[in-house]
Amino acid sequence: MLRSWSLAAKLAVGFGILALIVVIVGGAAFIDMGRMQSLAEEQSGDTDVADNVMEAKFEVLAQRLLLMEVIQTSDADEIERLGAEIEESFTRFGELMSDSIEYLKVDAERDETAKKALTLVEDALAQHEEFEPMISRAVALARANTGDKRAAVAAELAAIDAEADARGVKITADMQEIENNTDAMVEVAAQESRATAERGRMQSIILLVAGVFASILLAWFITRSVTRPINRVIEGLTAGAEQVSSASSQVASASQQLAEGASEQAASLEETSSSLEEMSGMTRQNADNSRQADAMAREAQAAAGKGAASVAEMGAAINAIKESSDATAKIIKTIDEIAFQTNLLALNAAVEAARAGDAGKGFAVVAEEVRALAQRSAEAAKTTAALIEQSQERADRGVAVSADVHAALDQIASSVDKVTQLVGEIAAASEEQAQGIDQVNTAVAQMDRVTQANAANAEESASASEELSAQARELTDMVSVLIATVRGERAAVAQTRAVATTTSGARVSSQVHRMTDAVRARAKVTDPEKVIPLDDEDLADF
Amino acid sequence: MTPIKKRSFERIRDIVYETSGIALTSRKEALVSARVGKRMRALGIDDFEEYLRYLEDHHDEEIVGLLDAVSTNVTSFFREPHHFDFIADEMNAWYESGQRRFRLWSAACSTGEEPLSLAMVVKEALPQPDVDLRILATDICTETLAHCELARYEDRKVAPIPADLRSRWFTSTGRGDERVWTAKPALTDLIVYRRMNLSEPPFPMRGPLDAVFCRNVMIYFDDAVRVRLLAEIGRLLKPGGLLFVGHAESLAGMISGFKYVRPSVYRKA
Ligand SMILES: C[S@@+](CC[C@H](N)C(=O)[O-])C[C@H]1O[C@@H](n2cnc3c(N)ncnc32)[C@H](O)[C@@H]1O
Repeated sequence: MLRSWSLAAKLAVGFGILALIVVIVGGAAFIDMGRMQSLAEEQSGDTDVADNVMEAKFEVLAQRLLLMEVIQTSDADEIERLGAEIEESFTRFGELMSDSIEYLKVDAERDETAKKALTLVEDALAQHEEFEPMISRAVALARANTGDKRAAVAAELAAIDAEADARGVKITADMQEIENNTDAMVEVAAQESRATAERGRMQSIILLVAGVFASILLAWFITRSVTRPINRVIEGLTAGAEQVSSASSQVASASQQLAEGASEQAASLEETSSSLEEMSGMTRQNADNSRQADAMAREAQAAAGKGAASVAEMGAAINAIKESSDATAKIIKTIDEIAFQTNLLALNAAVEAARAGDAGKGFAVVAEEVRALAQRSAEAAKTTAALIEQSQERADRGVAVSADVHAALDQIASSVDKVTQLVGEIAAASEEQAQGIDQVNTAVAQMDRVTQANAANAEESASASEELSAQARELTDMVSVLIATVRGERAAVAQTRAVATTTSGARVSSQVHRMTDAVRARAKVTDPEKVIPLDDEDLADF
Repeated sequence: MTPIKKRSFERIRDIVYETSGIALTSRKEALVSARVGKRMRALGIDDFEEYLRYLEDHHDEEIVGLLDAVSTNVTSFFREPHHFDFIADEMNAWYESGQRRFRLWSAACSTGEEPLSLAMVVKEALPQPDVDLRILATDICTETLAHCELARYEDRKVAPIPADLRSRWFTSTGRGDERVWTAKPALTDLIVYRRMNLSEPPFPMRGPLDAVFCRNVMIYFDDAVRVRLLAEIGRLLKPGGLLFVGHAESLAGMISGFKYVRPSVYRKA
């Protein structure tokens, strides 16, 4: 239940209880002292009564003596004087007795002895009431019968004296008893006051001991109920500070790693993007080249087609040549026959010329010339025939070759066809590749952005972790203040050490703290021109 | 704080894009909510609509605060180390050929690790006294520029610097984990810091520049802004000058005027 109380309530109740204990101890002492005082008063009152009674007793004795003197003298003046003295004594007696009665009346209400004393005193007073007129009568008698007249009343006086004496003795005896009684009362009061003092002392001691014990108990209880939760808080705070500081170093190392990762990534990204740029240039060139190759292959195909046609034409031309050589060979045969006939004719002419003799001499020369011509003609025809034969053979070969060429050209055409197809495919692929590279490039650019954002994040978390560890240090400081408050200075130092060692590198550096505080304080009122006292002259140097 | 409404997010996204070129996608809602929320806590505002009204009323001052909140300032010494080897070799070659004046630009310098790495590497490569070297370091974020001016770094931040370079160019105070390193004036005197918005060319430099480091900032831009920026860098670089971009940044598709040298390194044609 106590646990749920507020600190203020606990302290208020604790000190309230203490105050109550003080009030009880002090009150008991106060009451005892009052009682002691009243006892002392009673004692002194009792003593007063005793004194009064004693004095009154002496008055009675005095009255008896005075009476005796009155009887013995017959001098009028003397009697007057004694009478006055007696009156005074009566007054004194009355006063003493009424004082005592007054006092005893108060006491009698609670005190048996006082009550008894009161009756005795009243009794004595009553007796004295009777005693007093006797004496007064004797005095009056003596006053009336002075000188010679005395003898006449002597007997009467003696009788009064005897009676008064008897009464007086009785009264004094009674009063002696009262005296004894009041003495006893004094003794009782004294005893009572001693007992009260003793009891008071005991009571005080008991109450004091109990009070001290209760205070200690209370103090212990309150202290425990206050320090226990604070200690728990301290433990919690200490653990918290440790955790914060270790978490912050964790964050710091994580952000360091992040930063390193980011810079590594950035470096490789930079390389990647530059090689990508090169690659994309290359693919673009490839695409261009393949497009060109495609066009060229198409041209080659056309050319091959044309070639095939030409070869066919050539074959035809060669055949035509062959036919015309055949025709020529026939003609040459005819020429050869003509030469043979001519040779024969020339022989015949020579024979005829010889026969003609000299007249035929000239004719013989011509015939010889003609024969020579015919022989040369036959020879030329022979050579031509050989050549024509050769030509025929070659033409035959030419026909075969042109057929071969035709076939080859056909093959070329179909190959070129295939090449065109392939080159087209290559061109399309390069195009696609270029597009792909563009996409990769955008991806890399995006990654680059992410990398930079990561770097910024890393720095931000690094600064957050720095802040966190500063906070942890502050927390540790506050914990040590708390510890110092609760457990004392030395404990605080020890604890701070313990925390500090667990938070590597995060030890409190008060000097630096002060320094950064100074920086902060300066920064709060920042006017950039004040912080950096600089005119443009300095900048002119740059 | 009330969660961000879609409309508010889109409004903020548009403002950020218009003023810085940083392109926030719709998935950055949590990021914007967290980062702008932090700014709002500093201002004591807990409603995005209210913040947008505040931004409207105090546009000129608050836009700086908004961009400071939204920008990511992660960086480290000798980040992507081979860039630094490369520039060192190149500077040597330029020196051999008689060049003495060298102007370099770290275009998004964040908390200053990049220009300081550059300064160290170049000074190591060219220790000659006749070298006239200056590095311009710019960023849009004033908070990080304030850090640049301090040139002070926690122990764990200087870990990537080779030990000998570190002891040569830095002084340290404090011990153990409390140790803090400060760049020496010999280094910082070479560097001029300035707030500059890369999404709004032209820039107030005349050129020619020998090399531009524009790394890990274009990842936050979209292509339109990138192209504008690259054209301006092209204008400022000398022929043969070098452009270094982040490892995650590829200029594929927008590198007209540049020749690819190796991943993330380009040379002006
Ligand atoms: C992640 S850091 C890069 C730091 C360093 N160049 C590197 O590579 O380590 C990005 C820096 O760019 C800055 N930035 C963002 N937008 C900008 C703009 N429009 N103009 C100038 N700088 C900007 C940010 O403020 C941040 O400091």
